Amino acid sequence: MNRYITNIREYGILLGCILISLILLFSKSTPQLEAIKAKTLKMAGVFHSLNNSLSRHAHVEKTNQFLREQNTRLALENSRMRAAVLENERLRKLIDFKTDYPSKLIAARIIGGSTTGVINYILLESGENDGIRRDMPIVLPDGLVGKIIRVSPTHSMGHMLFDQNFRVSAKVQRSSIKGIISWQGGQTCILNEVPNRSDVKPGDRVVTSGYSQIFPEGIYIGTVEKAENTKRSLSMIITVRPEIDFDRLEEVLIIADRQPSITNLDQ
Amino acid sequence: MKFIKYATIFLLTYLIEANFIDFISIKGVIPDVTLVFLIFLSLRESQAAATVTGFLVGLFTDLFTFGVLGLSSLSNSISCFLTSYFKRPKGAISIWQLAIIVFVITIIHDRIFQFIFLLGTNQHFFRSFIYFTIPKALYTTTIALIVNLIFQRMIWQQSDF
Repeated sequence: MNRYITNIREYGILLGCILISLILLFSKSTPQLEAIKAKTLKMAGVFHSLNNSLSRHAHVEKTNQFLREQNTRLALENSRMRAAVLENERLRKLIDFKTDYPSKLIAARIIGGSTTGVINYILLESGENDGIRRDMPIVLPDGLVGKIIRVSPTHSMGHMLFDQNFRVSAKVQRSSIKGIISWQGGQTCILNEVPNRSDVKPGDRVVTSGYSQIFPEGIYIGTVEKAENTKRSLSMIITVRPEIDFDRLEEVLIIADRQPSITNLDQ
Repeated sequence: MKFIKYATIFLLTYLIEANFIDFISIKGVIPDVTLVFLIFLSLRESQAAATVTGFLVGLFTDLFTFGVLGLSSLSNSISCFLTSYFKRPKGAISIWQLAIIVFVITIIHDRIFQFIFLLGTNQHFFRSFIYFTIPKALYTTTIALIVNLIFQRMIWQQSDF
């Protein structure tokens, strides 16, 4: 008899745990829940900051040498770029080309995260107090990194391009063929929903299409590595290789002056 | 006292998972260190205690990482509940039995996790099973066997639950 009671108790506990988990999984996000998440994010941020500063000190000499080399190289590059920018500005004025590139960028240091799992994210040392808001795009000069998904006053969390649940509307810059970029594991992405025999070639640049309230048009994503027509389906298989090395990210830039996202407008 | 001990071990596990896991990842495959901790706990403690611990650890993980709230708690609770069925008096479990338990439980845990995580996406369940779950289960089993080898005496001391 006792054994049955114990069994019932244990099944009851399991059922309770499953029920609570399912309620948490499928319930809508409430302000209270968001507040709890923000608080835990802050705590996780403090913990990662401590840990990050310890490991940073250990590598400070190596980093200094690397930065000196980078500095020299960038100084040379900078002078070449200045000339290019001046030329570019002149040409822009001539053709009255209207761009929608964001002007305000916030730099943020990465203090933690995961880049090797199924769920890939970065934890940033800047938050709401620095002007960061949810759904802001994260970029680098080498291309798109992801978007902000959670913010606390002092820290924020970014959802990465290399994540199974990340999607972004993109286009091939040369032919304006549009599709959806998603990560399939490894170091490459797939450009989905592009019909067979579309004008896509290896070496084409893929950028954000602008069909989004989050990502402005023209952010570089990667270069087409392979573009193949398929017999079994109507879509091409297009492999895109981003230039960013997601395992070596140290700092990122956040585009701060985009329009609020659809989600925020709804709220 | 025991709860403090387990909480400390879990926090250490979490520290390892949060900071050093990238260093031991092999071709993108990472072991689930927290699950190893939960499996050993489930093989020592009562089924009810294991289930609740699995749930709480999952909730903690979901809150402190970019997790879907409720997802780890669900997969952890079920995994711990099932692991408890393999509990033997005085921890009489052979290396082979342990390896099979960890391998199977990691697969079950990962499948529950992936099934809900990938709901509504066009990801292939079977493909991720072959390329992701199996290597992860093998790696996690290896880690569990190494942990068992090093901390054998400490792990299999009879529980006072």
